[in-house]
Amino acid sequence: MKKTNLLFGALTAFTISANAFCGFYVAKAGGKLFNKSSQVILARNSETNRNTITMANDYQGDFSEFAMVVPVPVILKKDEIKVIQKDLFERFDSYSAPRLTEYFDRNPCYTDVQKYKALAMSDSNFEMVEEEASINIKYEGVKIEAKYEIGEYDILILSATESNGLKNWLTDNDYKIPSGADEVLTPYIKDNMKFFVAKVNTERLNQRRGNYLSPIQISFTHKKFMLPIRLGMANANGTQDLIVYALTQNGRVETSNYRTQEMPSNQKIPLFVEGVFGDFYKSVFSKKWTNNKSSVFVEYAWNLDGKNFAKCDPCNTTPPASQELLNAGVDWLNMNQNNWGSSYQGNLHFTRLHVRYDREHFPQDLAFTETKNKQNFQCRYVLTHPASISDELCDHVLPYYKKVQKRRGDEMNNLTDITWWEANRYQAYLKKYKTKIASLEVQEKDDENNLLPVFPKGYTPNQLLIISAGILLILCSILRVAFSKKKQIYSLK
Amino acid sequence: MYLKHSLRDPRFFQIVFLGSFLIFGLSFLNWQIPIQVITVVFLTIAITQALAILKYKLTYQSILSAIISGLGLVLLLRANETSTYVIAGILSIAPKFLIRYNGKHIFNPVNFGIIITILITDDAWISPGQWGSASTYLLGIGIFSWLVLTKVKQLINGLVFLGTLFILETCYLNFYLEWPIDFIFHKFTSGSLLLFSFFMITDPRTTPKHITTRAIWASIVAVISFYLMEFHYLSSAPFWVLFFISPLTPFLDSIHKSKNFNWKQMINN
Repeated sequence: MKKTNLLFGALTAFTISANAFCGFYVAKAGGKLFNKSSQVILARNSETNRNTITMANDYQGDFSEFAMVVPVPVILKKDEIKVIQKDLFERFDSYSAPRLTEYFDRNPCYTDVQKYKALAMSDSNFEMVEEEASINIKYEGVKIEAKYEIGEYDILILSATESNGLKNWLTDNDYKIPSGADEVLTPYIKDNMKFFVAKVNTERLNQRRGNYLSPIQISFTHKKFMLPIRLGMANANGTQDLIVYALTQNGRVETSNYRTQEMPSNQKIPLFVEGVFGDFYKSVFSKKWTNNKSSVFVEYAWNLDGKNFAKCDPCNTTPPASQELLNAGVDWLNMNQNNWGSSYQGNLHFTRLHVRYDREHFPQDLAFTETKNKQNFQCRYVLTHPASISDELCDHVLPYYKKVQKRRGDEMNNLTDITWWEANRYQAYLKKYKTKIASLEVQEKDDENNLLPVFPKGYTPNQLLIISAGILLILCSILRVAFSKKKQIYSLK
Repeated sequence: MYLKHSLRDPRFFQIVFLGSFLIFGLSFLNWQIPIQVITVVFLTIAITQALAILKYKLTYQSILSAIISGLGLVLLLRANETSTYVIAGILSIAPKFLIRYNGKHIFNPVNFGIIITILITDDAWISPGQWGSASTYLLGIGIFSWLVLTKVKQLINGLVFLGTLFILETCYLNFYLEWPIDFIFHKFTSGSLLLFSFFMITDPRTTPKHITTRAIWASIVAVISFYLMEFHYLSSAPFWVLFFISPLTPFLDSIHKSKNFNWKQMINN
């Protein structure tokens, strides 16, 4: 078999495009890996400027103490606020998470069988809303524009004219506003932003099954395409992680006031990462972030147009279904029902952005811009399993082992390039094939020795030389003796 | 002697600086610009300019302006298809010869190429955040542009534009909305804004001739950009404003008459 065949798996892994993928999905590193992380789904209809923002709560403490304050550009109406089922986030997270794929080398001497792993999906629907008439109460310059009871939340929409009034109102009503919040409350108030505040109603929470907080979804029509992150930083120690799933019509979403860059991807990495892929990706992100602290990172971007059949490649899970997209606020697709289930027509692009922010490096809220960039991108790391070879006598084995050895060197280099991991802790990974190569090389030399069948296996060339010299000397002596005997005989005659 | 003569041409420095920005972007900012895109842009620009040189009997030194346009396109425009870059390349050169008034082209070549390509192709975009923000940009681009622009006395455009925008933004964001001062710094150390200020709005051929009109013109661009950026959330506003305000240049020129700018004369002087 030729060398080109040996390299088949490896080459495709490097040169594949979205259409020509042949690896298999094995693991993913989802958003839950990161501490203090929050997740947001943003759906933006650029024709109508309709924004739908869905916020997941991974709040771990006593639910009765939970409160959130979100600046919003308009007063939200009752039907613009919903609670939705939290599995939508799980679906979007697992669909777009960084992924590990694996390839299997062919046995260089004969074709091996490939293995693969498959997966399952879940589905979602949503529950709805309760509302109360809006009441206007004056409180130190603060006006309650609206009051709603939605799902397990009691929600108020506040407007204010001065930050002290708002701060006092929030504090008096048990919203724990951090001391540094003044710095941002004033700009929001003066920019005519309203404040969406939510608390948990424990009675209604107890009536519902499941011990978790539902994600809250708000929709409004406004030119602003942004996420207010500054309020959350006021009291935060250290950094916070935010994962944004943006759903847009035309193409990839970028931040216009921070640099948006892609995470390292399509790298071949050592096999031992498989069991610790979560830790591996955390290290990849940490290293990339350390060198680019004012950046936003693209972890996934995919063209989900109705007519695009490859909605992921490889798929961590099934791509978002039309009902899920509708639940997330995508209102511009035409939904079709047919015998195979529901499908949709229309333009859609999915972008997953990962931001690690703190006050020092993110002085402004995240402002987004929708580009026409339809290029697909995924954080994908590649494992290449060497073929298991039982019969090492085949001529192709040694060159194959050398190739594997070189590849493992490259994999280790990639690993140390993109993570904080140190190569010297994983020497055994390189040693395995080094040993195999060494023993095969010895065998090969022995095979050369087999050209002289007189000599048994196990002799090195030096020994051979000495032995040959010895035999030669013995032969010479015999001849000499024979010759001299003849002479003697003749002389005797 | 010839080399010494060429080195006096500020366009030579401009090429070196824009080229180094491109290398910086590709190597340190992880820009994903394939080599074939860069090749296609420069080939298109070279061919279009060569045709113009033959037709209008121009000097071969005019290729320097074309190289600057090529670098400008590669630095600012992004597209999915390589063919879009071809369109942008042609649109950045051809209007210099086709859309003229009073012996002067009206539109900034790169700006025209970018805006028309975005409008007609549905495939191109500008990434205002691609540079990020860093205080070193302000210093670096400041020094570079000082070296180039003091020679062509166009620095005034960039300075008036940035100055007006800075005053407006500070008054609005810092004094009125009361955002902390690092909010403003973040905005004014944005690589895209600085590149626009010192390399696009300062083009001597497409800005008004007289220094006073030029200052007024640059401040108008700043005021409209400020309005669009802050109240209509259009992050690439300066590019659009420059495009739509360019036809105003002949009108401003007719108020304040001054001699047309010519690279050749400038070098000889």
